[in-house]
Amino acid sequence: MADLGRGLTFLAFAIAVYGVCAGLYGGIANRRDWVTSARRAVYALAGLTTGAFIVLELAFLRSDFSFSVVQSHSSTTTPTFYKAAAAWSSQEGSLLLWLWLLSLWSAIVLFATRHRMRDIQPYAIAVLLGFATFFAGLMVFAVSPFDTLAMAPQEGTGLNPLLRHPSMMIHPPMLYSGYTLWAIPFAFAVGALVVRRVDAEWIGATRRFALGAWFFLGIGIMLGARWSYAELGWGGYWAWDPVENASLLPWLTGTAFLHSIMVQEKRGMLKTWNASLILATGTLAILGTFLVRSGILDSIHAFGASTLGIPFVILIGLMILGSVTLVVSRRDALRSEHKLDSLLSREAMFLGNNLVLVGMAFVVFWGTFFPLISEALTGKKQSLGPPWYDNYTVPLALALVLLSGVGPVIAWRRATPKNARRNFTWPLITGAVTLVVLLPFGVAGRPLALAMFTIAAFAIGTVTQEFVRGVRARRAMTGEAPPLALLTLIRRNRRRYGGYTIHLGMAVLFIGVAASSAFQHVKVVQMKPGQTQKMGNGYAVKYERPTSRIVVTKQGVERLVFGARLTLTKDGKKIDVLQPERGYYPIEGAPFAGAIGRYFNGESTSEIAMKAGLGRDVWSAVTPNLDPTLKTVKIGDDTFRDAAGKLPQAQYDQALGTAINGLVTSYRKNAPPATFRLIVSPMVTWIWLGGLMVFLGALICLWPTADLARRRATASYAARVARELGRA
Amino acid sequence: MDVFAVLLVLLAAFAAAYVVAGPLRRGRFEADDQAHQAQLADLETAKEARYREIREAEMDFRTGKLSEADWKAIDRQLRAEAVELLRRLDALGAAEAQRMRQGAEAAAAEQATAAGDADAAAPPPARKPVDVPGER
Amino acid sequence: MDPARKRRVRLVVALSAAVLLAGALVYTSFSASSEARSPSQLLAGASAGRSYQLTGRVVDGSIQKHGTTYRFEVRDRDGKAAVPVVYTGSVADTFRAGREVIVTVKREGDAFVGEKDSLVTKCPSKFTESKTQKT
Repeated sequence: MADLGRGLTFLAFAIAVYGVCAGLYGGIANRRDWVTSARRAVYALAGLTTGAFIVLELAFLRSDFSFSVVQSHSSTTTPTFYKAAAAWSSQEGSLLLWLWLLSLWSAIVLFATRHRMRDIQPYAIAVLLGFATFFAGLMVFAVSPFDTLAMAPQEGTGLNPLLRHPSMMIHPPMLYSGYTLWAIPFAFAVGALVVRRVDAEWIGATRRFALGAWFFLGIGIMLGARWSYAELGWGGYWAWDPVENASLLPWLTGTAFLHSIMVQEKRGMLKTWNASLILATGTLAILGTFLVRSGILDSIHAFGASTLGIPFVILIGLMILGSVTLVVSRRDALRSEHKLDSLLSREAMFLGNNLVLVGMAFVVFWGTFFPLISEALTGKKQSLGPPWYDNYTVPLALALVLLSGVGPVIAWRRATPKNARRNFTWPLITGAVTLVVLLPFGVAGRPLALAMFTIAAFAIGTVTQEFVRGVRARRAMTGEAPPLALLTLIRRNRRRYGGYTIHLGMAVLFIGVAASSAFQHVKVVQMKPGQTQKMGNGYAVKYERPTSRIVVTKQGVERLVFGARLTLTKDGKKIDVLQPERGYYPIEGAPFAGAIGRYFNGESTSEIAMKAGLGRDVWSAVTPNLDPTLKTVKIGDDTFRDAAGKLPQAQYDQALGTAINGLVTSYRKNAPPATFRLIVSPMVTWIWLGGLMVFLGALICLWPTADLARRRATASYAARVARELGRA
Repeated sequence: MDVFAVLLVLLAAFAAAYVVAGPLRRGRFEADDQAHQAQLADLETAKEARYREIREAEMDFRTGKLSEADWKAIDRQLRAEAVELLRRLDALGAAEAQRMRQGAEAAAAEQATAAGDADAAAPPPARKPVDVPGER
Repeated sequence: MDPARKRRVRLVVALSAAVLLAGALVYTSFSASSEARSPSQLLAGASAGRSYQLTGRVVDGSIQKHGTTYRFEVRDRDGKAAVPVVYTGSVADTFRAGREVIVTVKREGDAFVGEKDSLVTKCPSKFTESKTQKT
């Protein structure tokens, strides 16, 4: 089976190389048959990588430990869902996933656009297959997922329990979809610049590609934040870690692009800016892919020196060099058709938005790479922490939300100043009322958070006003009932109202971020059963008693769980019961670990107990004190080691089971004080709700307009009929 | 070496080569008149964009962002741009039709001289059914 | 003011703002950052009161817990030099002996005190070249 995988990967590499050559030849010699052949190569690549991926998945699902990656990332006791997902928890498997997704998205997009942008296609195909060549080459010549072990062991090392969470398993495919999708507008931008055609057709297509990539990347980032908050033992959702930043960078520049491309569409302006922006976003996506596996920056995710560093640096260097060369050499085709008419126009607002977003991207980039920059400049490696990032991103975020509130009120081209002023009345009132209402709640001590609440309220006011006025205008034209009017309004103005929904979602999200950062109460305490901890705002948490249990699956003992039962009260009234726990996973495939000790010295993961709500989340995690238990375990290990050869297996197993059971039960009866991390965090749910609204808005924008698609097809067919008739 | 795997890989290789060589075997050698198609596509897309803008400007007026005077001015400008685009589209179509007609007349004239004057009056040969293979 | 001049003014203003922001960014980053050091570098010379970002591995058997405070030693990735750290704050699930950690510390006397919630423990088995023998 491994041979099949290796063969398919090699074929993928070969066909990618062929496709690059065929595409380039077809483009330069203006030969449509070669271009079609290159496009077919992309389809074939998708088929081959799907085959290779299936081979890898099957190996994991069948626990075929002759595969080196299966042995080191899975085990017979890993649940089936996680066995399937373990395929991409390894370096090699994740590269295959990346290649597979790239080929899949490329095939779909190239098929859908096969009749359009015929002059750009050859070069776009060559670029996409160039990426495929790189990744396939890595797998063929450097790190293959299909490496085998000389002797297939009986058991595998197992999947890191930290990764045993649905979010964590969907997060990589979503992120990789986001990264690979940015390759497509990058490729089409390169093609458009090569043939000097950065006009209407290219703009329309690229905008949709970029929106799709933005959508998936955004989901990937959100899932990562959600996983961090709900699963990890620190109760935060964003740490400005280099790897988090790496995924945020292309998202920021991509958001800027989605706005500024509309200015180019309407006024033929910002052509150089847009070309540079989309090329930079594609490069940042590859940079992000590289950072996670490079080890060049100290991060919670990046590890070890990887052999892949140099190839990636070369690829990124080529992309930067190529992009700069293209933009500079095509600057005549990128000349602006018009200039900015007035600062009081939506074009100017979009320009402002771009400046803020690119500013943010620069801050994040600088902070992330600062250790390398400072080392290069001063010889000492310096690193920056969250407070530095917050100092700059918070004011920039305020500016961004403000712009999203001002923008919708300003018309395209040139707004009427009198009308604009009048249109701000209600939103300003909303903002002011919010400010006044919040002041008595002691919010004034956090001026930045207060500013965000006020500005976000203003933005929400603007968007609501837009919806209300839009419905009113529609009803004036057609007399429809309000709900129907709303639906048709959105349906007929997808871009605008989809965009407004996204802005609404972002405002809600920022409110949640501001509230949960500025007004969080965190307590790290040691408690005995019966003790209570006050949390502020009337909340109190009482440690009722310790809990413990053994989780057994078909394959045996999955983990030992030790925890606590807590009662949450507010102002004396009982609200809920929280049961935070810690799961201890046994060490797999390690015969030298003690018979009982292997259950206690493996990985442990926190199982958070949380009461989420619109108003606030109460979050709890426990670290039980197992020291007394461990002393007994040590004695047990010695006993069982001596008894290993002397008892029949069945008796040995039974005795082992009884011993473990006894230890687990005794924790319940007599537990030393445990350490608790308790957090009361206001409005965290708003972050997730805001995120959902953003994605809903993106879907509205992405939804194709039926009539436009049909009309476009009719036009091209009509033209083709005319041509064919002339030729026959 | 796993024989089954080797056979499957060879099968995959042949399938891929077949898929990829298809267009080459069919031999569609004509150079694409890309310039015309590209212009057509751009004009069409730009026209659609203008229509969208005209509708949006009206929305802007109805939702109170523009005064009537400003709206009328912008609307007039946008409609003029749309008309210009339509004119260019028509010109493109007319130029293309002209080109094809001239090409067909030239081809017919060639046939007439090759077949001798007597055949010049004969009806043109039955046209082959237009074979438009699906683009894949 | 004619439109061309207006545009030039706008451009100058925008560029100046950008330069100012970039300048502020660069300046503060050098003063706000903490130097990343390995244990041996830290032991070689650390000024009292300055923050350093210590990166290394947790020494086997060195973890002690007193209430909510942890005491442990951090050694060089490949070496023996070890730094004792006193830390109170959030501790990741993955924290244990042998793991790679990053913690911001300040020298206080002979001990290095970790900044609250600054302990980052690296996920152990993702994308490493060598196979870990334990897990």
